[in-house]
Amino acid sequence: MLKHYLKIAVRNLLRERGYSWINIVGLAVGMACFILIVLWVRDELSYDKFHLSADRLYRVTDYEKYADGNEMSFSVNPPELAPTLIREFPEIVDAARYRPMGGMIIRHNGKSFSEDGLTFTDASFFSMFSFPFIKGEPTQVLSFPNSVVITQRAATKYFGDEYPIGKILQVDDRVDLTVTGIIEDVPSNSHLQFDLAAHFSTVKEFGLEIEGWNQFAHKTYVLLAENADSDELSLKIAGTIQRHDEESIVELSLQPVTDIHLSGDESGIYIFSIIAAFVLLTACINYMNLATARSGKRSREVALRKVVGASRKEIVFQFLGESILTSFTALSFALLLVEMLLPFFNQLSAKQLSFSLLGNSSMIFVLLSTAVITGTISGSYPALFVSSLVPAEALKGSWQSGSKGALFRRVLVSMQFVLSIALIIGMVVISRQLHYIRNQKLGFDKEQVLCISLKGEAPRKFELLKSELSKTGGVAAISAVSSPPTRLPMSTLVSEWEGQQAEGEVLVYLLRTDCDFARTLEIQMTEGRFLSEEFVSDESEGIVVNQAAVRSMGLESPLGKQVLGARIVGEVKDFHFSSLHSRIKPLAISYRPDEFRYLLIKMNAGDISDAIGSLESRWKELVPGTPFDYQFLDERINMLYRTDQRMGKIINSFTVLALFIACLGLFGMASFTAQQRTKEIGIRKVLGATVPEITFSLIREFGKWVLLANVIAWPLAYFTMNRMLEVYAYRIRLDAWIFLAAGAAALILAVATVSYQSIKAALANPVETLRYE
Amino acid sequence: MNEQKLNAKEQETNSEELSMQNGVAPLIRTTNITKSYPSGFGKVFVLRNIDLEVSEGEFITIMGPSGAGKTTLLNIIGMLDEASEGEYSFLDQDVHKLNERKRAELYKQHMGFIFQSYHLIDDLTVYENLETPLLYKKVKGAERKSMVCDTLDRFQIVGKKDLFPSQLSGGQQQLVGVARAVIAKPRLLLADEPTGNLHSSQGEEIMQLLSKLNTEGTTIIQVTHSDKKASYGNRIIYLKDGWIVDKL
Repeated sequence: MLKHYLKIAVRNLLRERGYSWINIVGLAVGMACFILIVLWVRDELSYDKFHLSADRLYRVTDYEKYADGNEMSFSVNPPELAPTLIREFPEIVDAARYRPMGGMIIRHNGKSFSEDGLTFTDASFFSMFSFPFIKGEPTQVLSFPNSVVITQRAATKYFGDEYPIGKILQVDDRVDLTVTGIIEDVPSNSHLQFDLAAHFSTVKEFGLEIEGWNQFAHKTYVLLAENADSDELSLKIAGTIQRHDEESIVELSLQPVTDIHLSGDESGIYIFSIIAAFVLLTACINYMNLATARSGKRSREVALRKVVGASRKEIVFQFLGESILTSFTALSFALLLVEMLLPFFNQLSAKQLSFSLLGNSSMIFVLLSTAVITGTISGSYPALFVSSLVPAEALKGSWQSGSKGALFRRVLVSMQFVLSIALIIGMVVISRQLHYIRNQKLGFDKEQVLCISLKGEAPRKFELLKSELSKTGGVAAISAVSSPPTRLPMSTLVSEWEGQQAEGEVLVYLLRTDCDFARTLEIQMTEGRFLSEEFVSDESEGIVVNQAAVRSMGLESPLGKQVLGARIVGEVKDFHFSSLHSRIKPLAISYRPDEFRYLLIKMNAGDISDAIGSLESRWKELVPGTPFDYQFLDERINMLYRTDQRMGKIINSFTVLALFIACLGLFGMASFTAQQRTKEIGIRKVLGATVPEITFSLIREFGKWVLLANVIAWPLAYFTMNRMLEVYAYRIRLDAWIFLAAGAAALILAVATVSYQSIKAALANPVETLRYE
Repeated sequence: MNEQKLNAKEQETNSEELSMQNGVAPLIRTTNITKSYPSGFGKVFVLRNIDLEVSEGEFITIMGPSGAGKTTLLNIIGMLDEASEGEYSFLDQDVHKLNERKRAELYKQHMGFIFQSYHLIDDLTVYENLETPLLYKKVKGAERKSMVCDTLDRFQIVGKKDLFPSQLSGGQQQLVGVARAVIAKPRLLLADEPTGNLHSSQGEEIMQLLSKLNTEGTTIIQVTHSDKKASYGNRIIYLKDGWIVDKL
């Protein structure tokens, strides 16, 4: 029986090649999207699950609420926290501090390398987390100061073929680290990314404290006892820092390590899952539509099967079997497509997803069930529909498939368009928002500004570098800063200031820079002046604040007020020193040459690549052995929106695919309708209808439903997009034109798709079409 | 009513035996069969109060002008269509009370259908067309094969077994149609103008075939316009405007 069904299914697929292709291509593209998204989602969900005790590992997070209403969550803690937690809470078995430090220069055998993957951590780190060791014992490797564990990648980078264990790496000409262990490269689905992990106490060599409660600089991870209740414990530890430091307002809590990667960014998972379901559903709807539409042709066969003894159940099985066969055929094409598209998708999503079925039983299960479920959903309605026919009617030819399922089919087509229009709106809104972000006035001039990181001995020689580099051609201004105005890592809690009107604390971000900063980035002053060489006192006690700081502190006339042990000499106009996801926060700018880590070089317009060339050669003379690592400031700013742009691109691609599938289905439906109405069109032409009139009447039939789809899609998209834009403090308005344009685009697309068939039908010679009646 | 129901149930289990014992009990009995379609505010009647009894072994011809309801009656007897009112019992089972599954079961055990326009399944070869009823009857592979081969032999169409219907002439197609109808050895063969699309010599052939099947014990009901074809049967029922009449 199965063989029989299979045979008839294959013959049907072959006989109706056009429809079969539409179905198979649609389903294959839908499934390929689905598989890619499944891979992506699976990867996103797999972060940090590979640690053996993943369910007991937590990160200590901090929360502060300030007098000005601002609040902040972060996850760096004082060095004293980890040992205190172990001491005070029996539920906490172990704890490790973790402090990454980028921008290092590491030397070995006279060669120097730039290194951003250095981190400092406690001895317990490798027994808490399960990073597989190649050499060394996890509990022993970090047992003495200046020991370091390196990844295989770092081993190759520094030692090549040499045997690394026991060898010395020199960091920033200051500290020697001895290699005690080698681990496999850190998997990409780990939120902790490092290449060298050195003993924690070594961090003091780089100016950080290793005890006390004042410096919030270290991430703190804890391992809970088995059966410990993390929620309860989270409440218990909340006031730990406040107990030891009376001025603190930090509230602690525990965050599962496995949640860190997605924290605050789960929307991607939902959005993509929804899109995957959308795309697959659209393809299923195509199948349902075309199968139901064509059931007229199949009705005779079904009737005859009933005549020779088939029960309704058997007919249902036959049709379901056909749709499942189609969906399995589509699956095999989808697998090919995935294989082809994966490199592009990886590029798009910045992931290293791989797709292999061998031994991957869960993936095979997902694929098989996708095919079966897709086939069943697609085939269910046509099967129930066609199996319900009464043989006598069908054989007489009075069983009109055209009229019976017509409403249902139109509802399905409208549903597809609802999804498509919503996706188009999403696409437009996201790209508008990204455009808005790129072109938003930041309050400073980001164009033609080079950002050079100061490593090794360079920070100590910044004044020499500034004066010498400004002599090379093409340089307009140079300023040294603690960090470029893209993300300021330093902040401090200010609880007392002159002119304070009420009790409370204000979180103030800190930027250390020299007197040339405002000139270099063309930052405007609203009051007073910027730091200046003319005032020697500025070096030690001059400070410049932004408007947000003045507002938060409630200062009426900021000039001359004492804040942070310095006197305010000026107020800068607010500028965006972090991404547009958040509002402009209070900022204090002061002169601290020991904290300068970057040079910002404003270039003159002209041949910039030449100018950079001469900068580089001058740099190599001044600080040989320190790499000339530069980046343009605007590129660095764009990096802040990398995730947003990536998401935008992925959504665009899937939207295009969804539209493609929807149009494919519409094309099939249009050709079916045209075919079904051949006779009617013939008669109309005989009665004097013109070609445009007939074409229009065919197009109108679909246009009507697309318009209806708009009405449903608009509110749907409005609410979803509003939610999506919430992550941006600065965002576009959802103007009506976006919705109208998306609707119009869908309508044009629909009309274009339907036109071909409609015009063809309208042009047909009525003598031909009516001959057989 | 209750008693009748009980009776019917008992007979359902033993229907084969009972009918064998009674021998003369009618194969088909219809009471007041009416078929109508809604039309505007009223109804259009296709069949009216048809009372009919058919005994095992009869060869009945239904005759009447176009639109008299011949095919509709045949379809209702053949369970391809349902009556709007009235009772229909087949082998002492009340067909109008059976659910779709039971009706399909009864149908495929006992009935075969032949159509004027052959109605073979286009996508299946001659062999496969013959095999299909056996598949639905769940006949096992080897037995199925031998039954199909026997039938191909008997109808002398072995050479055509791998051809598709579109590759056969009308007469050949109808031959396959008859073969398909009788392959499962039905008790009742229903033929709706089986020779209507054939020229006379082919028609003769088919009629002789039906006649032969009848003498072998198959009950046959045919619909025809032709008196000559009617003469192969042993009883004629005249239909006019949905009523049974004595004479046209």
